[in-house]
Amino acid sequence: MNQIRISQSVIERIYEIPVEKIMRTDVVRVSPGAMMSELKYAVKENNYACIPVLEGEKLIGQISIEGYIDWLTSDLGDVPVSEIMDIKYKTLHPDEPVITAVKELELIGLRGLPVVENESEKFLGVICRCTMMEGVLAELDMNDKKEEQKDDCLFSNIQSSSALVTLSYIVKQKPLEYGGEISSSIRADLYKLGLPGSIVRRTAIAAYEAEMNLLSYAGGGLFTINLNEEILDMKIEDRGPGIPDVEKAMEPGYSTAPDWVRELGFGAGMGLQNIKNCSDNFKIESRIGEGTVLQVNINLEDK
Amino acid sequence: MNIKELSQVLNAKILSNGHLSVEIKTTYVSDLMSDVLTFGREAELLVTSLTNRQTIRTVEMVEIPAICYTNGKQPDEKTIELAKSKKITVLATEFSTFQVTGKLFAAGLQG
Repeated sequence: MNQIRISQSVIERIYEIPVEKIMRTDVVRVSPGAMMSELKYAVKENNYACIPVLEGEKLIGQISIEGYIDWLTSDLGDVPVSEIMDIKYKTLHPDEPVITAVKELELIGLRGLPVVENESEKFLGVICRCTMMEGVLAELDMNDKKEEQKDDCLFSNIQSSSALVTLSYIVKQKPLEYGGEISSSIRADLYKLGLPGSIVRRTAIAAYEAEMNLLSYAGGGLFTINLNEEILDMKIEDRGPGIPDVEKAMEPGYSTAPDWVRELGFGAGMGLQNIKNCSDNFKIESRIGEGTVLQVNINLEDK
Repeated sequence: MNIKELSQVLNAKILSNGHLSVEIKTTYVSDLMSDVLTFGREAELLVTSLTNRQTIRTVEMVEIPAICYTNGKQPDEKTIELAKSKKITVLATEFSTFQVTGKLFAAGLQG
């Protein structure tokens, strides 16, 4: 089996990036006196990672998502945060390399870890699983463009074999002529991770067709790409009107596209079929009034 | 055929310098971007009379390094900027799509 390879230089840079460069600093913090019932917003806003509990600037505890769920399912009722918060937990320091954060998250199986200043324990930010990859990619982007090497080192060096790299992208509703911006980022990110051109191209084409669909019909949507050594799994979800007749929509040439879509060179009824053609495995589920989910799987082994 | 020769054959203006070293062997002609995404994957040049941003996005995804607009049409500044940022070569010619196709075919390019 061919394993995905990623540039050696990229890996070295991932090892070196300090936590402070990719941590989220805009997370919601709470005071120990806040009530648990007030945390709903914070949980979501902090990507379901963790909610830091601060006294002044000092971190005195945290509510993990697991802790929050335990509270939700308990019969404790509404109590102050201080009664629920964890006081023993691992923290990261700003100058620690990202790879330490990866290992810690993997080890304890948590979704996020707080970052504190070395001596003072002053709260600085949060490293969370789901935005870590974004942070790493953004950071690589900044030091990037000097070199474009590939195929030097094993992908599995940065994550354990069971772990996935997850990338997610939100497609916001905007004029159709701007469609393609997200697919362009997806394409660039996959190249940055060192995936082979043939895989990236198929993913990018499928993503682009799907993005145009999201903007044409669904008012936007969400891309989630999960990667392991064997498979690229791209999920495209929307909360649009749904497709009345999926079988019909899959037929090449069948289209309900209005003129303004056609004027941009789309809407010829080839989109879904083309997405399917780019996939090794393709699934579509659609419910009227609820939305549509596409699942595109691409095998990473060479055929 | 390289980009320089191409611009001479088509009497075309070069609006964006991408990878000028690219060698054009295969051309795809269409105004339908879905078709380019489906069938145009082997081409090094897209000939089209559509001039919106989606033409650039499409060649970016399919990795076609050069695009030639026909019928004297030119994309707007923003579209050209996008092409430049993606290192895509952009040409524009007064010839019609049919004429361009004929000239390229006569010059030995493949479809």
